[in-house]
Amino acid sequence: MKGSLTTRLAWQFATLLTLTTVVVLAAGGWMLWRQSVRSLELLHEVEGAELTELLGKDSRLSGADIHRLIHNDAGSDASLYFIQVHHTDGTVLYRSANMADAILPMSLADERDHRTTTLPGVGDVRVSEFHQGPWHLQIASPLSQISRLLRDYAEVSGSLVFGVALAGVVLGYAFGRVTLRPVREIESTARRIDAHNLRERIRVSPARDELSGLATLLNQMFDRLEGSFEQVKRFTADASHELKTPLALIRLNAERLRARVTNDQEAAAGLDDLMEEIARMNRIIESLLFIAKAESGVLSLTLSEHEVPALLGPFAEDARVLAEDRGVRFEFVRDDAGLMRVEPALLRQLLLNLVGNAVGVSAPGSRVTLESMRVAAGWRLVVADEGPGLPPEHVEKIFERFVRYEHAGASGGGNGLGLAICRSIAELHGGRIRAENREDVRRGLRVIVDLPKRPQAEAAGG
Amino acid sequence: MKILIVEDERKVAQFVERALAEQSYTPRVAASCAAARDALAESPYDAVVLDLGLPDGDGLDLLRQWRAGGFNEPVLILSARDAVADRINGLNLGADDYLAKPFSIDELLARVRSLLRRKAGSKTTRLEHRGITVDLLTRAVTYLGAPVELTSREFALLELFLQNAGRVLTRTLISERVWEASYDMETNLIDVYVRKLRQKFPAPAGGESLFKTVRGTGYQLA
Repeated sequence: MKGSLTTRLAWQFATLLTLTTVVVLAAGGWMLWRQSVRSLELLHEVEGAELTELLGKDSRLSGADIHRLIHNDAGSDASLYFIQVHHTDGTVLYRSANMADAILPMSLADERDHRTTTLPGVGDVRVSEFHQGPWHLQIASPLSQISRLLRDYAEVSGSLVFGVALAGVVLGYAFGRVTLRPVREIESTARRIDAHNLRERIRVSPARDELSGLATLLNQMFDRLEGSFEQVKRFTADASHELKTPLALIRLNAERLRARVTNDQEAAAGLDDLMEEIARMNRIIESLLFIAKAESGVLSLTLSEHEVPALLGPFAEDARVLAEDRGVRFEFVRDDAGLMRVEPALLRQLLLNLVGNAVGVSAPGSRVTLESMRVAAGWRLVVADEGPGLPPEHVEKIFERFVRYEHAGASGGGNGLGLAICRSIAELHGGRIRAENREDVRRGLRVIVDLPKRPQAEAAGG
Repeated sequence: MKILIVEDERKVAQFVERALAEQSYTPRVAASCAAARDALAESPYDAVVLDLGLPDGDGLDLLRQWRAGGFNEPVLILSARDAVADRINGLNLGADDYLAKPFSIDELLARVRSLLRRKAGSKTTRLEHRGITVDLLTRAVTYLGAPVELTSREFALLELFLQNAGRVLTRTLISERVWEASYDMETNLIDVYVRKLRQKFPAPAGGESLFKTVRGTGYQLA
C-alpha cells in the first residue's frame, strides 16, 4: 500500500514537472520564432523605406532604370534580400539576381503585409510587401537560419525535457518518501498499538497541519479504545471476584456441613448436589468471562509454534479413551506433519470440546474421526461424527452462546457454552470454525476449524 | 509451622484460619497489603496463602516485592480472578501454587501440605498403597504382585492418587496436574480415566473400589 502511494506520487510529480517544462520550452520556442521573424520584418521595413525613397514616385521608371538605381545605391542590399518590384498594373520591373528564376507571388492585400511562402530552390521565406505610389515592393528573406536556430533549440529542449523527466522521477520519489514519512510513522505506531500495548500513542508533530490533526484524532480513538479495554478488563475481574467470593463461601460452608452429616443420607445427598451445582456455576462463570474477554479482544494469547504430531498425539490418546468409554471408535485419520502456531492448552480445549460433543451424539459402534491437514493458508482440523447431524437452520447457530439442541448438546451435560468457547478459541487464533452436515456418509456432522499460519493482525503487520 | 493468610474476605479468612489451626498449623490473618507487610516484617512465616484482590493493592505486587526482597518461603495464591492469565502471571512472579476460588478446604490443606513437604525436600521414588506399588524411576507398576501396564496419562493419575492417598482430590487439581489444563473441562475425561484405573486395579472381591467418588468434589484413593 505505502509503496504504491510513494510511487504514484513520484510519477505524478515527474509527469507534472515534465509537462510544465514542455509547456515552458514550447512557449519559449514560439516566442523565439516570433521574435526572429519580427526582427526580419523590421529589417524588411527599413529596407522597404530605403528602396521607396530611392525609387521615388515617378511611375514612368523602366525596369532598367530601377535596376540601375538599385545596383548603384543598394547593390549590397539586393544580394542580402530577395527583392522584387512590380508596377501596380502587375508588370514585374525588377527581380534581384539572387532569386534566379523564382517568382515571389503577389499578395492580394492592399496594405503592408508580411507572410511566409516557399520559393523553389530556396525554401521557406518571409515576404514583406509594401505598396508605395506606383510600386509594389516585395522584400523577402530566407527562414532557413531561423529554422536552424529553432531546430537547435528543439534539440536542447528535448534533452532538457528528458533530463527533467528523469530528475522528476527521482525527486518525486524522494519527495514522496519525505512527505509520507509522518504517515508511515503513524501507520507503524498504530500497528504496534494492540491489546498488548494500548499505552503507546502516535507522536503529534508541533506543526498544526493535516497530519498532526489526523494523529490527534487517532490518539483520541486509542484513548477511547484503551478506556473500553480497561473497562472490560476491570469488569471481568470485578465480576469474577464478586461472583466467586460468595460461591467460595457457599462451597466452604457446604463442605463443612457435609463432614458433619455423614450419617444423614438425605442431607449428605443434598449437600453433594449443592457442591456439584457450585462447580457447574463456577464453570459457567469462567466460560462466560472467557468468552466476554475473547470477544472484546482483551484476552491476549501467547502463541508459539509446535510440531504438530507431537502436539496432537496426547490429545488423540485422550479422545480415544473418551470415545471407547462410550463404545465409539475414535480414528485419527489424517495427521500431517508441520508447525502449528497455537496456544496448546486452548487448542486442546477446543478439540476436546468438539470430540466430546461428537462422542456424545454418536451411537455405540459408530465412528468419530479427526483430520489434521496442512493447507495453503495454515491448518485445517476436522472433527466428524456419524450422529444425527443438525437441521440445516441450526447449523449456523450452534456456536452461539447458550444455544443447545437435542442433537448437538452432548449427553445433556453441557451448559451450551462449549461450542461458543470453541469459536472464541478459533477466533483468538485468527481462525474460523464452522459446521456442516455430512454428505459423504448417510448422516453426521462435521466441524471444520481453520487456523491461519499466522494470526491476521500479525500477518498484516508483516 | 506458621502460616500467614492474606485475605480480606473475613469469612473466607476465618474458614482457612480454622482449618489450618485444626491441622496444628499456626495461622495468622492479614486483611490488607499493609497488614501483610507488617506481619512478615515482624516474624518469619513458613508459608503464605495469598489472595490477589486486596483492598489496598494487588497481591501480585506484594508477591513481587517479597520475592525481590529475598523472601523464599512457599506462597500459595488464592484468587477469585479468572484463572488463565493470572495463574500464569502468579507462577511467573514466583508463586509456588495457585488455587482458584471457589475452592475446597481439603484441597487447600493438601496443597499447603505439599508445599511444605516440597520445601522440606522429602522425595520418594517408590510409592505404595494397598497393594499398588509404583516405581517413579523405572515407571514400573504392580498390583498385588502382578505387573500392570499403564498409559502415560493413567500413570500420571495413579501417581497423583498415591501421593495423596486418603485425601480428596478435586477435579480442578486432577486436571491441573495430569492434563496441565488451567481450567476445568466440560467433558467427563477424568471420570473415564478413573474408570480405567478401577478396571486395572479392581477392588478385592466384595470390597469397595479403591478409587472412591466424592460427589461434588472429585475422587479419593481409599
